[in-house]
This record gives sequence, C-alpha cells and structure tokens, in this order.
Amino acid sequence: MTAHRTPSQDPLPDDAESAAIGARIQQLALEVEAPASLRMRLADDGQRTTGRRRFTLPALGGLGLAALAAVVLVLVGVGGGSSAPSVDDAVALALAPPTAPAPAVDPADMHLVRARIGGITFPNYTYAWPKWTTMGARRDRISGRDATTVIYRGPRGDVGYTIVDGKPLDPPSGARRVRAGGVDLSVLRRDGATIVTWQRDGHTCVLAGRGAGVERQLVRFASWA
Amino acid sequence: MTASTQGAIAATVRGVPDEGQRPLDPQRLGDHVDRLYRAALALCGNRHDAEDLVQETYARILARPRFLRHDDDLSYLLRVLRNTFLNRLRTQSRRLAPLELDDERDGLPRTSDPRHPEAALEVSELLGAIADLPDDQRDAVVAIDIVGLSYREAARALRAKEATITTRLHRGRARLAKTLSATLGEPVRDHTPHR
Repeated sequence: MTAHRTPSQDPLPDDAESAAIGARIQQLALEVEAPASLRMRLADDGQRTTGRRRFTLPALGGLGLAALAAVVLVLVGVGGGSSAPSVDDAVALALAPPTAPAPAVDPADMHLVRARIGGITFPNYTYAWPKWTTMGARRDRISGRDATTVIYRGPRGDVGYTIVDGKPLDPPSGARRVRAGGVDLSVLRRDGATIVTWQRDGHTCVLAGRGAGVERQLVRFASWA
Repeated sequence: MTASTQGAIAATVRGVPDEGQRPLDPQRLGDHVDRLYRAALALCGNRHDAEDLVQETYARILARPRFLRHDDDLSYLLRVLRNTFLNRLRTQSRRLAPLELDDERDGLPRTSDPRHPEAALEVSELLGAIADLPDDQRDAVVAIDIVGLSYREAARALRAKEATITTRLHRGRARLAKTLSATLGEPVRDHTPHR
C-alpha cells in the first residue's frame, strides 16, 4: 500500500479556500465508522465462502485458507471489543445525553418514530402520552455492537430507551420480575436510576430514568412499546 | 483482444499472477472497511444502501483471486466499489425502483462523543450533499477527501488525468461549500451537552 495523500504529491497547489474545504470534509468524514452490522455481514460472507471452498490453496497462491480465515478475524475484530456488552453498558447509554436531533414521527405509523435498530422501530410515546415528547437520539457502539438510544422527556424527567443490536444481553442481577401487558420485565435500581429491561425479537431493550416515581411510567412504556 | 490480454485473463482465471502482477492481500481487506463505508455513504446517501454496496463489493473481490499491476489496494477497492455502485444504479433504473432516502433513520452516523451533539447532523448533511454532486465531481471528492487517495492514485482509480481530477475536485468542493456554508465554513466547535 502506498502512502496516501500528502501535500507534496499534489500536482498543483490548492488555493487556500479549496484546501480548507477539503480539510473540513476530511475531518467530518473521519467521524464515520463502518457499523458493526456491516462487519458481521462481511465476516459471515467470508465464512460462507470458506465453507463452500471456493478458494483453494493453489488459487490463492501462497495465501490459502489460513489467510481467508484471517480476513474473517480481521473483519470481525476491527473496531470492536472482545467482551459482550452488559445491561449496565446499555443503561449508561440510556442515561447519557443525546448526540443527535429527535427522530421524526413515522408518517406511515404514528405510533412510531423514524429510528430503528435490529428490525425494531422505536415508539412514539407522545401518541399515547401527550405530555411526553421525543427530545433526542444517539447511536453508539459498545463492545463491537451497535446500540441506538431515543430519549424522551416528560413529567417524570428524561427517559432513555436503548436497544442493543445482536444477541440478548445477560439478564441483570438483583432485578424484580414484573409482567405487564403480556411482557416479562426486569425492574431494578442502579445508582439512583430506575431501569426496566426486557427482550423483544431477540434483542435486549432497556428503559432508564432518574426522575422520582418514574418506575410506573417505565413499566407502562415497556408494555406499550 | 491481444495475446497479452488473453494471457492476463487466463492467468487470472487460473489464479496465477502474470509477470509484474502481485496478488491482492486478503488479510489487508479489513483495514479498508471504514474508508470504503464512508465512500459508499457518499455515493449512496443512506446507510442501508451503503452497507449493501460495501458487502457486494467485498463479495465480488473475494469471489476469485485478484492480481494488481499498478494499483495500490485501496485504489483498486475504490474502483470496484464505484463500478459496483454504477451497476446497481443501472439495475435500479431498469427496475424503476427509487432509492430510499430516510435521513432520520439512515443518516444518523454513530458518534460516541457527547461534546459534539451536532456532529451527526453535519456529517449526514455533508454525505448527502456529496451524493448530490455531479458524478465526476462526486467521484473526485470521494476519492481524495473521503477515501484519502493522493491525486495520482485517484487519477488511476478513476481512469482520468491528474489535472482533470484536480479540476473536478475544485469544482466539487466549491459546490459543497456553497451548499453547506454553515457546516464547512466553521471550525469544529466544542458543543455543550443539552442535559
């Protein structure tokens, strides 16, 4: 691989304005990383290719299947941690400030907002509780997995709803089991926050808030979502 | 078709490098996922199509051994990505299926830095604006500013002269600056969290 762009390689000197614009574009672009879901898809493809033995040792020259296996490991490993995320990790995101504007209401279904992860679309709680509004969102990666959070604001303070992509997280210790609206919920408290967590379509969902008396509202939200 | 071209094709099919060629190192492909994903976002304008594009690009590359003569890996990968993108566009236009553009859902880049709550919106606007550039300007901006190729590498990847790439890049940047004056005209700000 040759070295990438350096000013000395440029055939013509940039004017200052163009160079400044380019620098700003490059700076913004660096904030984007390939999502874990894409890395997993690439890794799956690599494994399937290996399984079909489409690559043979002679066809790959000296590289062979070992190299292809290394590709799979690299694709899975780049940018991701090795340990599985925990419910506590998801709670930290649910209680964190938003980093993006509130997603709009889905015009096709007013019960939902236009934010989704792992095939699950986030609810528009305003539809059922008009005093609660969607006030922001964030998207993170924890231990190599995507997590999306939508933050709602209402009479009981701010409430974050986080869904972690991929397999369900290990259930939290010390939680009470509650059944509401046909949904099995785990309710717990951590460092002054109230947390409700449950599983939906194979993903772990977490609602968390710090407002006084918010538990009842979280249970309502969880059983409505 | 010349004898040397036939020989090169035959060598590639057999999985044997021709003289002066080197094999594309599959162990290095994982190094370029982020850059290719950024390029795909700038081409497609939304995350869903960008992920599909990168996946299809890697599938094409891994389908058989690849041997490079002049290209570095990243230039080659960008050219395959762009060709795959153009093929998809042609297929979609034949099917008359409009591209889905869902900014609220797909344009939300991941950022874990709470100091920059507006960064997601800025990046989303930028990538959307690049996707809307004329094709030749878009390709130059993607190759140099998004992927990080040198002018020479970009010219090779895009099969154009360096001077042509330079002109397209200048025009593309100028158009982006006009479209996104608020985003590109300010230095990175130290945003304060909302709560």
